[in-house]
Amino acid sequence: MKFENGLCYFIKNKNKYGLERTSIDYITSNDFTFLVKCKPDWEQMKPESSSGIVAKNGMHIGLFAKKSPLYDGGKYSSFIGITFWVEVDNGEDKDIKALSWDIEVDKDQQSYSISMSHLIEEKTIILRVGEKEKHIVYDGQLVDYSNAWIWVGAACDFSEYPEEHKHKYVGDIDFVGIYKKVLSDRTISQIIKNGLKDAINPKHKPGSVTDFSNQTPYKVKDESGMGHNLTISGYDWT
Amino acid sequence: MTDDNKTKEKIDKRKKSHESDESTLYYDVKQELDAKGCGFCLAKWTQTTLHLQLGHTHSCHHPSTHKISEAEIARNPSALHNTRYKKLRRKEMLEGKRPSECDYCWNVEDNSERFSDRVFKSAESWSKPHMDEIKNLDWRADYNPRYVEVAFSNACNFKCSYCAPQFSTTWMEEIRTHGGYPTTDKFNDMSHMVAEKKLPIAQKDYNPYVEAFWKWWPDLYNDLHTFRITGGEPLLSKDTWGVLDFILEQENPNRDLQLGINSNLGAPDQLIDKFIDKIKQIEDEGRVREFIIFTSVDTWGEQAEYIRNGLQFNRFWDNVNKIMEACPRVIMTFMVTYNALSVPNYHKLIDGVYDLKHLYGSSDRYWNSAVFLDSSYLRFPSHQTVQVLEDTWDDTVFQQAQLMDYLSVPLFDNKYIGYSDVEIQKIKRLYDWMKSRTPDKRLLEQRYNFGKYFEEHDRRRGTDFKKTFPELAGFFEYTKSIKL
Repeated sequence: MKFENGLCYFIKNKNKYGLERTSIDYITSNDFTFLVKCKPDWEQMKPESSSGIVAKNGMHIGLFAKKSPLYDGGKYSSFIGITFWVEVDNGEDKDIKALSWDIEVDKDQQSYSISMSHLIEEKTIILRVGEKEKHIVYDGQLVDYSNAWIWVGAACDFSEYPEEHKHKYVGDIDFVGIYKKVLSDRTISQIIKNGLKDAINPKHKPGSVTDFSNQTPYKVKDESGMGHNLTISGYDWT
Repeated sequence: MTDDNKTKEKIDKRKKSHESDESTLYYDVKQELDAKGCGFCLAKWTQTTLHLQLGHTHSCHHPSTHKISEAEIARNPSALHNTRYKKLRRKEMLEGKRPSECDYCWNVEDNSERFSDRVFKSAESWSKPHMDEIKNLDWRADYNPRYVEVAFSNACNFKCSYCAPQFSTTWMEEIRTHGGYPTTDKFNDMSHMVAEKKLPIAQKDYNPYVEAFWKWWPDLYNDLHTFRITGGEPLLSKDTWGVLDFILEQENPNRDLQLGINSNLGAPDQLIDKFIDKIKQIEDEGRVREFIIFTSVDTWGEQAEYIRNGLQFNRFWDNVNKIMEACPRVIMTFMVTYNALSVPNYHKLIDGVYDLKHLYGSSDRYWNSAVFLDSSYLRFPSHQTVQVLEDTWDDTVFQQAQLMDYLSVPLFDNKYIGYSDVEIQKIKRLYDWMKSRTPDKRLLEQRYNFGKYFEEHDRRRGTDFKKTFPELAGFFEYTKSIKL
């Protein structure tokens, strides 16, 4: 699925008709995994920019593609990273945390499988890009994101927001899975290999899953049956 | 305050302003009604349903119908609506009393914080503008209603499984031949109709109520906001054609009229073609504000044909397309009587109607979504409601509601095409109601009746339940084995 010209989607924190089988508003307050298959269009991305692949708005939390400023000779570096905020000093202060992997840009690369997992008890966030993995341990607790929406292809797209804070993504995203569980490496590999068949298995506690194969002009179907379809942004309803 | 908090504040404020717009309207209407009397409701004046084949009427669908006096309509044809009985209820309302026949609303008002239909109906655009006028009327005064539903006849070529002889001549024939069904309540036995004087007048016979209607009609027509013809099958009634011809003949037609006609779209081809010609002419000449066809189907294909005996599904679907293609401004609403037999394949109807919405969506129409799916759940006969099914079917209905949500428009507006809030909420409500079943003796009796009814249905009509509904074959066998 090509993300360009500002295209992005959101998942509200509640299904307005009560047609959800599991809630996802407090997903970041527990164990969770965001899993995507994507291929950023590094050429089209502006230097020194950061693009939301899957993120919650506000004090952003999620997966981002980043591009460094241009170096001498017009070269740049590419990164896949995560960003999140934590409350420290009993909520008196908030700190931003980040973690990233350098990406060797390879035009023949099909796409990257990227995941962000949160282990609540260990206060650890893991970034996985392909087979590579990094983690970060934080103090305090993640800020409350329960009112924030999940965005795909941006960090947010509310019309009131300045454009530079929307962090629009350019490139392909072929799979998005939001899980209320820390997925094992093996599970992630299976999902990436086998697609929806494994991705919607209830034992993985899916919250919303799509490979973008079912769409209407306004929505992308949540194949997990949990009731959290993706809604296109940029219309009167955003 | 962070940018995000500011945004959230703005969004919350916007949401609250919408809420307050709506609730302020209803709050204000309730205050105004209560200032006249705690039982005052404009619908008693502004709305009426006329069952002319029975000579019955009621204002608002909650109270039971009552008999129209032939003597009254001989003197005053508007007594089809302005019956002495109804005027006495209006008197009660104007004197601050609550008519007992309106107890549905009193129950809501006394036992919840919700607004009752008294408030909603009085707030409608066909009611509210007339508030002051009605408040100051003498209770004896005649009043032309603004929202009228009329059935001229029970002539109908279908005998839908949940329908009754008073609404269908083919049902009447069957009951006359075979009697009531062997359910514990003798489904569709006609003796109660005789007792309640609800035996319909045959279309070929003289009908004083229809005669009174035509005397009243020229005076009524220009006051109408909404006029809807029900039945029977309206296309089989000469009076339906009379109404269409009347509208076509007017030098100064009521161009604000919202005209609705029910049809099973199973009438002979020449009638469908004639219907299309009339609609086109009425629309091309701008003789009504909006033309809505209310048609009916309860699921997809062969299963829909079983539920609505007489229906040929493919022909029905062709007729829907024929009308929508020929009449670029018409709106079509599918009135679904969602029942136990709708459940297995309703998702196909959801997909089918969604395709129609896209195929015929156009800004020429009053709504861009040219087709609507109105999923109302069957309550009577109780043996055919969704509640009789085993609870393993509940999830299927939930998935159907989810499918409608996926195919919905995020914001209901003329320019977007897809399912609306109301269409989704109706099926969600149906699901909630389905789940509220109580596994008691009554449910067992309903299941017993399900078995008895469809066993007899197959015998009388030559249908095959198990072949048509393989998904429900086991359940059918179970219901047939129940001993009360």
